[in-house]
Amino acid sequence: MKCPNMVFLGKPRRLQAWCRKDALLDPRRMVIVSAISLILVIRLLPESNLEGFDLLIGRTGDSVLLLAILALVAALFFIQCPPPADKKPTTQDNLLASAEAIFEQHLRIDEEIDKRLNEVTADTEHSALFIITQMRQLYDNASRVVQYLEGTNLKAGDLGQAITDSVERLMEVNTFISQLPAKIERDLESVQTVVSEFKEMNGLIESVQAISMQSHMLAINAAIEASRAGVAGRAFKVVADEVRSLASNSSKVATLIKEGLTRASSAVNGGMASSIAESSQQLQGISLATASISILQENFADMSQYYKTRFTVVTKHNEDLAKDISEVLGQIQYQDVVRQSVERIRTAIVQRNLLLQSAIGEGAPDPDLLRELPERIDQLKREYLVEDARHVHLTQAELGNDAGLKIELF
Amino acid sequence: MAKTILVVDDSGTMVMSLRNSLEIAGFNVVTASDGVIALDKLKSAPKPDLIITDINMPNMGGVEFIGKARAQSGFRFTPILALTTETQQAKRDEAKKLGATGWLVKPVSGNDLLRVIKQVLPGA
Repeated sequence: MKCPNMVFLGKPRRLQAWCRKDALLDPRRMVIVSAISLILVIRLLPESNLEGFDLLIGRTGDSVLLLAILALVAALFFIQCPPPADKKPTTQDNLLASAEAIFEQHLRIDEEIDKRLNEVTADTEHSALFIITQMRQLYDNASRVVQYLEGTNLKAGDLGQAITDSVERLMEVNTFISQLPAKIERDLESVQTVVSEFKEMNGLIESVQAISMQSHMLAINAAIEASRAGVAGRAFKVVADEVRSLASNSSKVATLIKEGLTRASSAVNGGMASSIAESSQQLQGISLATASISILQENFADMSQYYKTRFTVVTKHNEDLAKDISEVLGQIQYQDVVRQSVERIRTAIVQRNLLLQSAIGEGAPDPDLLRELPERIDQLKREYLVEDARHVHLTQAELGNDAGLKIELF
Repeated sequence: MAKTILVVDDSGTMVMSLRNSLEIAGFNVVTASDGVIALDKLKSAPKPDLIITDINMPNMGGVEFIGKARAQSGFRFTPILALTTETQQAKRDEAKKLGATGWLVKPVSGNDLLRVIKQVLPGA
């Protein structure tokens, strides 16, 4: 119990205690009330009625007034500094102090719990946001892989088209080359025909040479005869010389033609035939190379198809990943459901503490409020349950209860 | 061109969850943390093709926001979906009366949400 002088310092609790009904019989209060009443009586009564009360001062009534004021001051002093022995705590005071201490502890525990709940809510939100960020990065990375594959697929498509075009051109060349040996063979036959004709021409050349020889002999004989004829045969001798010259030239030309024909025949029969055979083998090699390119094209087409299939599979996986990520992001909404549930609990605790505080908190316990406290707390509980029931709960959501009401389009 | 969706929710988790789900699905997303801010967003470009709003929010709740959004010119027929933990039928009825297009109870999976969006937003 503290000093009652707190009454005058405006401590409401002490003022309340002072005004309680059971304090009316307090002797200190009786002295003060009596002194004030006496002062009022002396001031209100006419002086004639106060004659005879001039024991100390000599003025009518003033002695009595002085005594009343002294009594009032003594009573106030007594009130302000009461002897400790008179203020033994009562059982009620002890109970009140205990209740206050319990309430204070209770509030401190609630404050700690509230802090932890707040931290847990913040932690779950932080974790949820982190998961969302990670999920988004996962999707973005997967999308980049798909974009890369898509680019590669397009490039492979372009490359495939270029290869196809090249192979088509090579196939055209191959067709030409494959037909070339037969064509050369035909040309060779033509050449050989020419060579055989050359051989036939050899006989003609020999005839020419023989004619040349005979002409030469004839020219010699003619020259001899012309010499014998003397002047008359002079002109004939000129003709004979010309014939001999002609025969000589014919023989030379025939020889040259024969040599040319012989070289041409040798070239055709020897070098050209073997060259054509060699070329045919090379052409066959080229033809085989073209076949290899064709096989390469088929392999590329297979590979391209393989990568197209892979790309399709990866794209499908990416779509599935997007759906799964979307599902996970939906599940993360549980954090908000939990947060709101925790918020409702925190609000209910604060309201309950306000009720307790108003009943047994700062001021003296209000008996009326104390009596109503159980009912008011029960009312608070009912309000909390009604408010909580308005919101979805995890067990409902997990079990899929009220599926029809979960999504409703108006 | 991608459709624009306005997401109104005071929960950072909800906003981030919806934003990423919808962006992955190819939507353009604008966000607001309460009804007052959301009403401001309605006045600025890009104009939302769809609105998804929470119900219990500070400053201005979802039900009031739905009523005020419907009163704005250009948003008479814009689909508005309420996404909330509220299961109370009276709230649903109130939202429906004020012009909500649908009511979804949290948590809603991304795929369910996309299915609903395709239902209420032709061409999405």
